[in-house]
Amino acid sequence: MKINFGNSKYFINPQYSWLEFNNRVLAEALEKDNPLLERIKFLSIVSSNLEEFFMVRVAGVKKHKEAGITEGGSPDLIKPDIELKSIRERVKKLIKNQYVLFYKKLNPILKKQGVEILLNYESLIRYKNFLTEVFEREIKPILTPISVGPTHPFPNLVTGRLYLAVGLSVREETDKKIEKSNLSFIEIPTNIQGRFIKIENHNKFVPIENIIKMFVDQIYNGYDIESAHIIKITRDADFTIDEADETSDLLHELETTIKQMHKRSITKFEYEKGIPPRILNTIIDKNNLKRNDIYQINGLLNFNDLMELYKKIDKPELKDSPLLPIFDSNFSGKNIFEDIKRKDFVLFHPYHSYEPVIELINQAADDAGTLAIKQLLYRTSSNSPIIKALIRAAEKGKYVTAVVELTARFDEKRNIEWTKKLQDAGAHVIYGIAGLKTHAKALMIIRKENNEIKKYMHLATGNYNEITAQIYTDLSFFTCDDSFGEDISSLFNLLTGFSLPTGFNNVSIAPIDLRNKILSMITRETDNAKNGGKARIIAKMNALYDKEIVEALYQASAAGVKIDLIARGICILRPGIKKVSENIKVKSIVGKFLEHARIYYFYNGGNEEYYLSSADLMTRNLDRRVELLFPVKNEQSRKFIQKILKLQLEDSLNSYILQPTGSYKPVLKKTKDNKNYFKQIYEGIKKNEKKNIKKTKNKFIIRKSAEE
Amino acid sequence: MKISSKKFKSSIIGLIDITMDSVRLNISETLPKDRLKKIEELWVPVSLGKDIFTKGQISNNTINDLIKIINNYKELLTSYKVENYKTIAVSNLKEAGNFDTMIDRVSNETEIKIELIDPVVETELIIENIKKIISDKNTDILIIVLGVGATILILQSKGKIVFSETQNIGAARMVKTLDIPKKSMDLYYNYLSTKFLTSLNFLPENHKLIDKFVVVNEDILNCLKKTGIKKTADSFRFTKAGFQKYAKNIEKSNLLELQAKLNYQEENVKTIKISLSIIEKISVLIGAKNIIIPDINRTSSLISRISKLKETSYAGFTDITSENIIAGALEIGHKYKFDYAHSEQVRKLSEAIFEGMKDFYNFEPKAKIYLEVASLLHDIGYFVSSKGHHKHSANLIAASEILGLTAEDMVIIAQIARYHRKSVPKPEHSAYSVLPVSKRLIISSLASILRISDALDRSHTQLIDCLKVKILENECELQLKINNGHNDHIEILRDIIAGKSDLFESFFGLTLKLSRL
Repeated sequence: MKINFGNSKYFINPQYSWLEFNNRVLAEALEKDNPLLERIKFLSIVSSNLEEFFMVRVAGVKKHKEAGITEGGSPDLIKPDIELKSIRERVKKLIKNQYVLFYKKLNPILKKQGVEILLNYESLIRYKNFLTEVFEREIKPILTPISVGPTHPFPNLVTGRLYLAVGLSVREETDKKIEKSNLSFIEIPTNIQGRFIKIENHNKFVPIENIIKMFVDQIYNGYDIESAHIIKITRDADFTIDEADETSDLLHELETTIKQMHKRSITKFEYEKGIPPRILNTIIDKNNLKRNDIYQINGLLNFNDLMELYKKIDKPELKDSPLLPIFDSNFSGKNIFEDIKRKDFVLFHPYHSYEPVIELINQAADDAGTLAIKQLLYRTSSNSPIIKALIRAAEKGKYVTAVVELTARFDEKRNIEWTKKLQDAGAHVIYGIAGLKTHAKALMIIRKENNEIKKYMHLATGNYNEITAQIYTDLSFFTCDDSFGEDISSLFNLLTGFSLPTGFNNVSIAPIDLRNKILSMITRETDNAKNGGKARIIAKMNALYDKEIVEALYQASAAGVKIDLIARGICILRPGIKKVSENIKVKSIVGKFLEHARIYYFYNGGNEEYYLSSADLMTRNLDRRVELLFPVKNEQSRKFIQKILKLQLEDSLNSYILQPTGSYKPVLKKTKDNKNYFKQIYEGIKKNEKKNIKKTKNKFIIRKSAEE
Repeated sequence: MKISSKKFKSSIIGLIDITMDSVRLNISETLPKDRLKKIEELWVPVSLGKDIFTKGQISNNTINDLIKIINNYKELLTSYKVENYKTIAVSNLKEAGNFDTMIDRVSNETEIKIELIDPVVETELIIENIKKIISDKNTDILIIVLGVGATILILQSKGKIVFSETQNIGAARMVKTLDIPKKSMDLYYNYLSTKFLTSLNFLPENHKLIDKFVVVNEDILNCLKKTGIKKTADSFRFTKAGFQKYAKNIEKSNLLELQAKLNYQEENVKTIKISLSIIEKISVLIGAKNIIIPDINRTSSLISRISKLKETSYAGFTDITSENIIAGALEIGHKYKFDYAHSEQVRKLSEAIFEGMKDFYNFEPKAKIYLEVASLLHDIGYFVSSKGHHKHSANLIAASEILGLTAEDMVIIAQIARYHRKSVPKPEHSAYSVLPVSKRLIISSLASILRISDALDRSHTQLIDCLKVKILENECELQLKINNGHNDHIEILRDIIAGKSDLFESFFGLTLKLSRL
C-alpha cells in the first residue's frame, strides 16, 4: 500500500513543539549541577522566549482563527480553537513550574549564598532611609502617572512594559474642581538602574516596583491608595510591512510601524495576584480582553529581568567559568588577507574567537588596496565595531554596500539608527528585496592587489554581532576562492537590484533554489538507498518546520536512509513511525550556549558533502527570506565540521531525544560517562591549537582607539 | 647583472552590452596571454525588442529602465575604479522609430556613449565560439541563431561557412502567433519552419545532408540549465529523438510551474515553448542526427574580443578569414548559376593586378577582398536577365549576405560589380553618389581593375595563364602569359582593353599597355 507521507497524523504541532523546547530550557534551570546564576539565567530565558512566543506564534494562531479559518494552519491540521486552548494549558503549567522553581528553590539558595532579593514590604523597612533617597532623587522625577477619568481616556499600554495599576479613592478635603479618578497607571521605569536596585553595595536587591509601591502615596496627593498591583500586556508583533516601491519609504514606514506597535492586538495579559476585581474588570473591558489571554501571576512579573541579576550579582563562583576564546592558528595575527589566501577555513564560535571576523573588516577599512566592502547585515549590536569599521571605510572612500534587514524582528529600532549613520558616511545602504527578509550572512571584500583583483569572503551561519557571538554557537567560513567570489558578487548584485541571478557555481540561494537543492540532495540519498547503497543525512538546525522537506525526509527514511536531525527548537517531524520515520532520530541540544549553526551533511555515495547555511528548514526561511547555503570543500574544514557533528550526536549531557508522542526525553542524565559536547569541543579545539601555538603567534592586537 | 623582464600589467575592463531583451554588464580583468578573468557579470531584462516589434518604438518606461540599469552598472564600474569600459548595443535597435531620441536621452542621463555593433560581428562571435565547441571539419553543420528580432541561419560545410542569411523573424515576432487558434498553430509552425529553410533549398544538393544542427538561443539554453538537463563541458547535446522528447515535455508542462522554475515572466515562457517547437520542426525538416545547444555567453565573448582590440572602433573587428568569405561568395555564385570558370579567372586576374598595383596606390585593408568578391559575382545578374545584367548583379549582391562582410561592405561590392561594364561612375547615379567620398574612391579604383580583368577574359575561355604588373613612369604595363597556341590573342585583347581602360587610366593617371611575358 502506498503511504501518504503528508498525513496530518505524521506531523507534530509547531506550537506544542516550541513549548516543548521552552520546557527544555526550563530543565536547564532545574538542573542542580548547573551553577546557580546559570540556572537563574535559563529561568529568565524561558520568560523572554515565552514573550516572543506570544508576540509571534500565538498572535499568528489568533490571526488564523480571526480570519475564520477553522482548519489548522500547520501540517498537523489542528483547529485553531483547540490549539489555543491547549497552548494555554501548557503555558500555565510552564509558568507554574517557573514560579515554584524560583520561589521554592532558587531564591532560598540565593539567600544561602548571601544574595538577597527583597520581595516583600516588610523586608524593605530596614532600608527605608536608603530607599527614600533613591526614590526622591532618582525615581520620582521621572514617574508619569496616567490617570483614567472622564477627560482622560484609558491609555494604550505599551507591550512588554510593567505598569503599576493603582486603585484610588478621593479624600473628603480634596478640591472639588479637580477631575476625579479612581484608577491610575504608572509605567515602571527601567532606565535608572534597571529592574533590580542594588542596596548599599551589597548583594541585596530590590525590585524597583516595590520601591514605587512603598512611596506611591507621595505621587497621588489628595487621594487614598486603595491598591497597587503590577500588570503587563503583550501585543502581536508579527507585523508585515506593506511592500513599498522606494526604499526610503520602507524606512519611513517601518518607523511608523514601530510607533504604532502599542496599538496592536493583545495576545497576553498578566497581573499580580490580589488586584481588586474592580480594576481587573475595567482593564479587561477597556482592552476587550478574552478570558483565555489572561494570566494571574503569584509573584514577580517579567522573569526576563532576572538576567539583570545574572550580570549584577558579584559572585563569579556562581557562574560557569568564562570561556577564553581560542585564536585559530590559521590566523597569523598579521595580514589577515594573507591568512585567508593560504587556505579556506572554518571557525566555530564562541569556542573560537570572533575577533578575526571583526579584524577582517577593520583591516579592509584601513587597507589602501581595498576597493569595496559589501556586507549583509541582519542583526548587529548597538555599539557594533563592525558598523564603525564600515563607516570608517566609507569615509575613506571605499565603496561600501550594506544590505540591511530593517525588519529583523525586535531589532527594528536599533537598525534604523545605525543605518542612518552609515548613509551619512557615504555608504550605500540597501534594504534588500521588498517582501523578503535578507537573513543570509555574508561579507565580501574586494581588493586590488599587486596585479589582480581579489575577493575575500566571510560566510556565516550567525549574525554579525560580536556580543551574541559569545553565546551563540555559529560557524564562520573564510575563503578567497574565485568561484565563491563570483557567487557572492552575484548575490550582492541580486540584492542591490543591479542584476538578476546569473547562476551560481557553489551556493544556493533562497527563495531561488535553496529549497530545491535541499530536496534534491534528500532525494539523491533516497535513490541511493533504494539502489541498495549506503545513504545518510545529518542535519543540524534551529528548527524543522516545512511540510515538503519533512515529507521528503519520510520518503528517505522509508527507503532506508539513516537520518539524524539535531533540531534545537521546533521540529514538526514525528520520528519513529513505522514505515514512515523509523530511520529518523531527532535530538535537541540545549545547554551552555545557544545552538545556532546550521549544518547539512549528505553521504552522497561516499562523495560526502558538507553544507553550511543561514537557513533553517522552515517554510519561512526557504520561501520568504533570502538565505544562503554553501558547501565546504576544504578537507581540514570538513574534518572539523565532521567532528562537531560527531560530538553533537554523541553528547548525552545536553541532549534530549524527540519521542513519537512529540515530547522530549533527556539522554542518560546521570551516568558516569556523560558526554558533554560543549566541553569536548572546546577541549578538542584547545588541544589542537596548543600544538600550533608554538609555531605561530596567534593573537590579534585588539584595537581600542583606532576607531574612535 | 641586470635582468630585464617584460612584466605583465593587468587592467580591468568593462562592457555594458545592450541587446534586444537584456542589458548586461561584464567586468573582467586582463591576464597574460590574452586571457580574461571574470569579476562581475550582471544582467537585467529589458523589453527593447518587444517594444520595437509590437509598437514600432521604444516606450518611455523601457527607456527609463535602460537609464536606471546603466546608471547602476556605472556605479559598480566606479566601485572597481574601471575607466576603460564600453557600452555597445545591437544594431537592430535602429529599427525603433524613436531610435535617435532614445540614444539622445540615454547618453544625456547616463553620460555614456552607445556604440552599435554590426550584426556580422555578432554572428562571427557566435561562430568563433561554436568552432571551439565543435571542431568537426568533415560534416555539414547548420547553425540557427534564434534571436529576439531576427534569426540567422549559417551553413558550415567542411569547416567553411558557405551560407549565411538573416531573416527578420525573431522570437518577439513569433509571440504574436499566440493569437492564432491552437488548432492552426501547428500548421503555422510548419509554415514558419519551412520558410526559414527556403534559401537552403537553392543550395547545391551536396549540402542537404546536415549532420549537426546547432541552436543558439539564450532562452532555450536557460531552460535546459534550469530543468536539470545534463550538460557536457560546453554544450547540451541531443539525438533527434531526445530533443523531440524534451520539446514535447516542455510543451506539455504547466505554464506556472515552468515560470517558477525558470524565474521568467509568463510571456517569456511562452516564447520558449514556441522556439522549442520551431527548432523541433526544423530538425525534422533537415533530418539532422544531432542537435547541439552550445553554452555560449555573448557578453563574455564580446569582452574578450574587446580586450584584444587596440582601436576604439569596431571597424577592424571582423576576424573571419578571406578564405571563408570567398567560400560564401562562391556559394552565392552557384546559387545564381554563374560561370564558375570565368568568374574564378576574373578573380585571379583582378588579384594579380591588385597585387601589382598595391605599392603604387594605397588601398584600404578590405579592398582586396572587395575586389575578389566583386570579381566572382560580377555576372550573377545574368540569372535575372542579360539585359542590364551589371545592375541586376549589383542588386543581387546588395541583397545577399556573406559572413565576414557587413551590409555596408556588400553595398560597396555591389557597386564595384555594377561598374564592371557600361557607364563609369557618374554623379547622377544615385546609388553611387549617396556614398561618402572615401567609399566612392574605393569603388572607382576597384571597378577600374575589374573592368580590365573581365575584359581580359571576355571570351570566357581562360586563355591567360599568368599576369604581371610593371609600373613605369605614367605607364602601367600588364605582362600576360597566354596559353600556347593563342599567341595572336594579345592583339584581340589590346583591342578590347582599349575600350575598357578609360576608368583605370583616368583614376590612376597611368596609360595601360599590354605586353607578352
